[in-house]
Amino acid sequence: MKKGLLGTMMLVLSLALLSACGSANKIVIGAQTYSEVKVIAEMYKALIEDRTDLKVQVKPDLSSSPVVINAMKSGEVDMATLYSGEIFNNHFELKTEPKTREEVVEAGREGFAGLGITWFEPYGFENTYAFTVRKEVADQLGLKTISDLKEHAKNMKLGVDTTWLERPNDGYKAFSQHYGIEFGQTFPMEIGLVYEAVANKEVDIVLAYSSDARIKEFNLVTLTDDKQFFPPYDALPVARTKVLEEHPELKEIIPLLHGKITLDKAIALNYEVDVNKRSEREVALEFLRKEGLLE
Amino acid sequence: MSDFFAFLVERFPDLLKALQEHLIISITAVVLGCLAAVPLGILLAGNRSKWLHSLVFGIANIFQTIPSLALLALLIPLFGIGTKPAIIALFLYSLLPILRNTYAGFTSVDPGVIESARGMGYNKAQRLFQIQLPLAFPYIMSGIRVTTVYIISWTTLATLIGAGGLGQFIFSGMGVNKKELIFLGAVSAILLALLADFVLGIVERRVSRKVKPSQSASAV
Amino acid sequence: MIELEQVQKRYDDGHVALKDVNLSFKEGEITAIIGPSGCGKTTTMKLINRLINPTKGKITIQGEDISRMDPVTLRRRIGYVIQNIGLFPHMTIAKNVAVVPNLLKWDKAKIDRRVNELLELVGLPPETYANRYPSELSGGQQQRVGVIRALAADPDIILMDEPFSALDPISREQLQDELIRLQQDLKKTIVFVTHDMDEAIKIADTIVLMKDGEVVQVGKPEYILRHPANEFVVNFIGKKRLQNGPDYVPPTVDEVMVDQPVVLDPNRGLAEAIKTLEKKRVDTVLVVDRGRKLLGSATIYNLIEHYGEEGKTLADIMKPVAHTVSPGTPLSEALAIMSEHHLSNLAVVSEDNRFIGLITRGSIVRHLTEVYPPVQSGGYAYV
Repeated sequence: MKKGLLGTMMLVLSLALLSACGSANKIVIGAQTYSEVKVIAEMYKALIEDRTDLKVQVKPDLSSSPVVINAMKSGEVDMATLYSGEIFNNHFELKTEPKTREEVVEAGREGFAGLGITWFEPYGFENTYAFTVRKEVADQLGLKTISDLKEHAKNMKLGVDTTWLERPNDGYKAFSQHYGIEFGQTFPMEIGLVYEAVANKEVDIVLAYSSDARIKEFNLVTLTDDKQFFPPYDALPVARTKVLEEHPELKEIIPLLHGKITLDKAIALNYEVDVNKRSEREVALEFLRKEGLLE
Repeated sequence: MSDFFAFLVERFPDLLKALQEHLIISITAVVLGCLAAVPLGILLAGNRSKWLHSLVFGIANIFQTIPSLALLALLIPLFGIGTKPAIIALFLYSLLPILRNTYAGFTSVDPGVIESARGMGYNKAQRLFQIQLPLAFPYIMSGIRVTTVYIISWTTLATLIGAGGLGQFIFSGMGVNKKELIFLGAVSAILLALLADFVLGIVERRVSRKVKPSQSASAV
Repeated sequence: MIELEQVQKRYDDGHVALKDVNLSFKEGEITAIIGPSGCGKTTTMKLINRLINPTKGKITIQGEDISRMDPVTLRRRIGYVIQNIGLFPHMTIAKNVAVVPNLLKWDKAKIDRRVNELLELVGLPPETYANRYPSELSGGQQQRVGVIRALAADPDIILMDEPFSALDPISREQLQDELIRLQQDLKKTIVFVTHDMDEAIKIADTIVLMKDGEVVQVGKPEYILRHPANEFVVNFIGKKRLQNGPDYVPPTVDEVMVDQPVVLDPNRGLAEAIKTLEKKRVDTVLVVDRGRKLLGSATIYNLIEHYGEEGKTLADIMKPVAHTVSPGTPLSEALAIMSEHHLSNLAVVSEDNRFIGLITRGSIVRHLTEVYPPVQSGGYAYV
């Protein structure tokens, strides 16, 4: 939580400090502010440095996926983790209407190729938006699905991350239209804060990230997306096409995590970092060793 | 350019809401800062114990040097999220400049003037309100002006802890890669700060005009 | 009017400012307290309006013990003028003068009348000055305002702490004169602290001499000059000031004259003469022959008048010197001659008309600086 905030400050600093990646033997892995992505970045760092003589620098706490993508476009970041649903955020023109997980990944692969970014196969878990309330509230108001919110929403205070209100296709506006639901008040904030915010009753309902361990930790309940508004958000590794050409060995290493991280495993990784306060690096190394990918 | 204008018109109600949130936080923080720092500055100026000076200035200085984001974060466990911790963090920031200026203003008053006032029969309260405060006021005003401008800028970070404000446009703009949003937020914050600077500058000048620098009678 | 009985002042750090002071300030008089710095004169004065409180002893005003009075009320009854003037820079002159009447809650019309009356009294017409700010006035004007501010509420007692010290000599003199004039009408009890003996002698009815926290002598100026109590007093008032003391020797012209004035011989041309005047920065040249006999003098005006006549020399245009004095003539006689005939300088010549020296205004002034030497530590030299 605190890391997320400090991280935004880091954004400014990092972008200022990112020197031109002139160093031929250096790979820069960018990571957003959530723990799972940072742990995965550390995993790749360990793998790459173990198996090649490339050096890896991790740039964590970039404030959002678009920031990461921009950094890749300008060559300041070489690898990252993205979520497939990002394709709906106006990075390129969608020619089709992908619906299933596979369709979305495919569309993304195609679209981003045009931006010089190569998409690889997903890790095996989704991290989607999840409307989350305190258990007592769910029990009291009989909330199981998002539609159940219809009458109550206008009296509720909603906590969200800093971008959901503005996202064009999977954001608040589109959601309102789709479900016919409007909330009484909305409070955008650093995503890391929403869990405590709802647990401490500062807000009534939050739009959390589904793989966050704190949902369980704070005894929160997620509502089902019964009208299927939110697109799939498969987590997958991406890399700059140019960098892959310069260092083809990466093409062997990146797929190593394909399918290795299920939702439960992702939540567990988040738990270690966010609740047990261990370092991303430590957790990454432990995971790799357990999976037999590292000595 | 016309696109931006259309955009502006479309988002105008949001802009007003954000502006309102922003002003409430900034103004409350500065007002609280004045209420705390001005009397404190007056007290210190009239007091001679060095350790008290060091203590007070030292504490205010510490708050200043904590990066604003860190300070916001530190206050959350105590005050939750939203406008409360934001106002408190910014209030702590406003302390040092206002304190320093109040102190400087009071110590700049010619001791001859104070002695005169005392000798002529002004009691302590009268000296404070009729002589010292008016004379120190330009300095205090200057401190308030500078603090306000820079609190307005720092308030853009308040959105990260759920307090809203103009920063919302900036961060969401970064998040969805929409330059108009970033621009809207940044420019609004800048204009607001400039406006505050301008208005308070006028007040400052008007007050200073009344108070001429006191001249010693020495013509040698 | 004001009595100090066995007053002592000892500070926390052990410094004893006043040892055992017994003083009486007569009503309607100007009493000057004078002494070297650190003697306790300002401390003594400040006891009267309780800016300082004594460690021991009693102070009464018209019989009432002031330690029983509320200091703030007391101070509003006493006028107070300090060296730095202390006019309030953020108030107009009128408001400054009206300070104490305002504190005493006089009604507005009365205050306005009083302010205007006082401004007129010291030659600062209200139409011009009432709404000005202190920074717009000269030092002398500011101090005048300081004085009338002390008079505003018509107090019986006025305390003045070196009020004119920071002014230039001309303003100082004017203000001293004005104070004397005002006092003739107002007859206030004034306690005036100064370190300048001349000032004290000029304005005071009674002088109190202090040293190291004690009173050394009290008396009328005339009395103190003639009967100084001890060596300290003698030194303090300056030897040469003791006009009719036993050691007094009136000065002669020899002590005062310039013995290297500008002289030229009569054959010099006018242009040369002018150049010399310019170089030596004088306005008159004395014409002497080779034996240094005084032949005549020429002023710059004479020279300019005849400048057009190129062939002329000093011999042609010089004027004879009408008056001279011989060496050993008393200065007072020489000055009388100069005054009577409106001379700006007077030549001193020997019996056979040989030129010895010249008394000029400048040389007289220079002499005075020797007569009135700087007073002990902190005194003031006239130039």
